[in-house]
Formats: sequence, structure tokens, C-alpha cells
Amino acid sequence: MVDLKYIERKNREPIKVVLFCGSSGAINVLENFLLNIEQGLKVAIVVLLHRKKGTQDYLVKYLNQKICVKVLPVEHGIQIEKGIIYIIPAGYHCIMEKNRTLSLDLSEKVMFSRPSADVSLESFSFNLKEQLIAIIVSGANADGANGAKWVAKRNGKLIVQTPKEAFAKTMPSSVLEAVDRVDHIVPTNELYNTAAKYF
Amino acid sequence: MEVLLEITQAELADFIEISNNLYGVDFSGYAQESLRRRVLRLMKLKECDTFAAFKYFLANQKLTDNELLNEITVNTTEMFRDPEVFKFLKEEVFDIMETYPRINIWHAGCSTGEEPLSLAILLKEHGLLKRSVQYCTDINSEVLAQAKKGIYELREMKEYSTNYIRSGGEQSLSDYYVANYGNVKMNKGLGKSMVYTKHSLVNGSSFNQMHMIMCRNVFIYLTTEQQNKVLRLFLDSLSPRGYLILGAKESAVFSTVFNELETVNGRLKIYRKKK
Repeated sequence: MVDLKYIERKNREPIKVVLFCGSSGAINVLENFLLNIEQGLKVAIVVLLHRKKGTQDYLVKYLNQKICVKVLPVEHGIQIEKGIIYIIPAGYHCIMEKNRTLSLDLSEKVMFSRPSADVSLESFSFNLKEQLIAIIVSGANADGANGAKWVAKRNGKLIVQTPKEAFAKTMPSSVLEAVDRVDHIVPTNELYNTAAKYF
Repeated sequence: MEVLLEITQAELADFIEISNNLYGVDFSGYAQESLRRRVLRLMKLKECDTFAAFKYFLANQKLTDNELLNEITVNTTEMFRDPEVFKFLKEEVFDIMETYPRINIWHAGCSTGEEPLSLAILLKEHGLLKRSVQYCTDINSEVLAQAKKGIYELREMKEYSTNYIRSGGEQSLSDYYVANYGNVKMNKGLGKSMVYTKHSLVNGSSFNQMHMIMCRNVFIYLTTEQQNKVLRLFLDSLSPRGYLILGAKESAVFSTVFNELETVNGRLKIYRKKK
């Protein structure tokens, strides 16, 4: 049994969440980003990548070997905690409940994607407001642009990879088009340090 | 720029009340965030810019009960989703089922029926189909009608075929359907073991002793309390040592009845009633 009092206490602590969104060409950027992490990470990181679906999650296995903090696949109802990296499984949308647990959802694809960055950015920003740090990197469609509007409106932080550094620039540049002002536009190597300012 | 629609928690509660009172559809056991997204989607679809406009729309009964249910609930399903699960059933569970004179299987929330058909194919290849009864239930009568027809889109079949092979299928999936006009019709023989009925997991009750219950990707739309209630219902419906199979990313670990279940395979979410 799960200790409910423990969960309740955890819920009251404010927690900052980094939502890392990417698609085509994002995997190298993700690795580069995560390798900067040191022990005692003060935030939770949720990773959303457009991938082909399958039951075996090799990305989780691979990252667990590479990175010094715990990497977990998102399961329905998982309680988000700082110091952990969560990978959204392919084939599900991921949304956040009021009590900071993550839910999965099989509703229709958004922008031809499931998981869709639009869905997660909207839902995470609804529940986290200014505690959300959204990072949008390389990808070949405009998924994330609509979600970014919500992040901006709810005072979350928006960090976008410099489009010309991205393998596929559509995703970062469509965010820049959709939102009047993002917080940072930075090259790949500076993504982590820029985000870390808010940790 | 398109309008950014938004609804508050209070408005969501309002929606639950309206749909219960005017449409007789009870959404109170549904997970909040998922429901909020679905309501926003429906508002956008019906071109309501504010919740007040949407409320007016609902109050004037501009939807049928079934339409409301259709738009809010999610009916995504596919054949042989998570092939490893089916492979496990075929290799580890069917041998035990083989010792039973009759096999009752309940597909709770079967949607358009892809999953019962997948299981029927594997049961057939194991020589068990003739003594199986598969109860396929869903709250939505429209998807059940589709399930009864057994007609699906041809373009999905490529992926299903791959997953069928990975599930340990012994033939070719195309042996089980006839393709025409961009659609496929599944062989009638497969449907002989099925019983389709409308049944709500939110307020329905147990109706038979089951040897296996498959309820995959339904829990993700329910609140924790509702999940516990449904699990209680499943435990009441399972015969001793009966199997319960949940979705690959769902878990019974958090539930209040977990101690009455034994984990057969934690990764694949296959559980068994203790006695």
C-alpha cells in the first residue's frame, strides 16, 4: 500500500517541473541536455518525444545507464517528485491532475501526434502555472505552438532552441511565431544552464 | 489567432450536473483533467466561445444522449495492442484455461471490439474458441453496434498484422478477414463466441462468474475512487483464481483491493484473484 499521508505532504510542497518537448532530431538534444544534470536535482523533468510506439521502452533503459538521477516511464497515476526524470510512453497523451499526479489518455492524436506537446503544455500549465518551465526543441511539425500560447498566458517559462541550430526547425520556429514573447531563445549547449536558472 | 478556450473547476462541476440531470449521463467518476480536455474539445467543436454559451447549448438539448457520450468518452482501441500481453496469455494462461469445460471472458469497455476479436483469433488457434463465451460490454451503444458489424479500415491492417505475428499468431491475419472497398470484414465465425451488451462500469453490477476480465485503458479515465469501485466489481465477478488484465500503463498497485490480487506479471499488468 502507498502511504497516503506521505503523498499528501508531498502535494503541498511546491514543485517546479521542466517539460522537454521535441520530435525529429530531438534525441541528441535531449541527451546533451540531460547529461548536464548533477545529483540532487531540484526539479522534476518530464520528457515528451514523438516516437514510434512499442511496449519495450529502450529510451528509459538507455537513459538510466547514462544519467545519475532516476529515469522512470510515466505510468497512469504516478506522483511527480523532484529529482526524477519521467519519460512519456509513445502512443499516449500525458496530462497532469490537480494533485500533481500524471494521467495518460488515449484520445485522438493532436497535430498527428500522441503524445502531443500541445496537450501536455496546456494541461501542465493549467495545473502548474508559473512553476512550469517548458523547453521546445527540434521537430518537423507545429505541435507545441498552441500549447506554448497557454504557457505564456499562464506565466510559465518558455525556452526555445535556436531554430537554425535545430535538425528540424519547424517546431521551434512555429512556437516563436505563435507566441509574442518567449523567455529565452538559446543554442543547444546553453539549454540546460538557461533552464537551471529557474531551478 | 484562434480564441483560447478555458473552463474553471466550478464550471466543470456544472457540466457534470447538467449532463446528469438533462442527459442522464453520469460523468462524476471521470478523472478531472481528462474530462476538462474533452469538454473543451466539445465546446470548440460546437463553436461555443464561453462556458455560458455551451451551457445554453446543452440546456436546449442540442445533443442526443449518445452524442454527448460519444464526444466525451474516448473509444480508441486497436487489435493486438501490446503484443507481449497477448503472447503471454497464449503461452502461459491458455494452458490453464484449457482445463476448464467452459471459459467466460469479460471485455469491460470493449469499445469497437478490436480486442475481443484479437483474443478470439488466438483462442481459435489454441482450439479454445468453441467453448469460450466473450462478454463484450461498453457504456456506449453506438460503438457496440460497430463492434457487432466487425468492419474495420483496411489501412490499419498492416500494423495489426505485425502485432498479430508478434503476439505469437500462427497464421496470417488476412486469413481472418475479407477486404473490399478499403475496409475489412472479420470472419463471422470469430463473432460466434461474443455476447454484446450495454453495461456501465460506473453504476452497473456483476452479471456472471468470469475466468478472465480484460479491461485495458479504461481506468485512465476514472478517478481513484471510481477505479476502486470498479476493481471491487471485477473481484466480485471473477471466479477463484480468475485473471484480470489491465492496460500496459495502468496499475492496480494503488488500489484498496490490491491485497486480494496476486501479480502474475507486473510489467504486463496481468493479475490473478487469490481465491
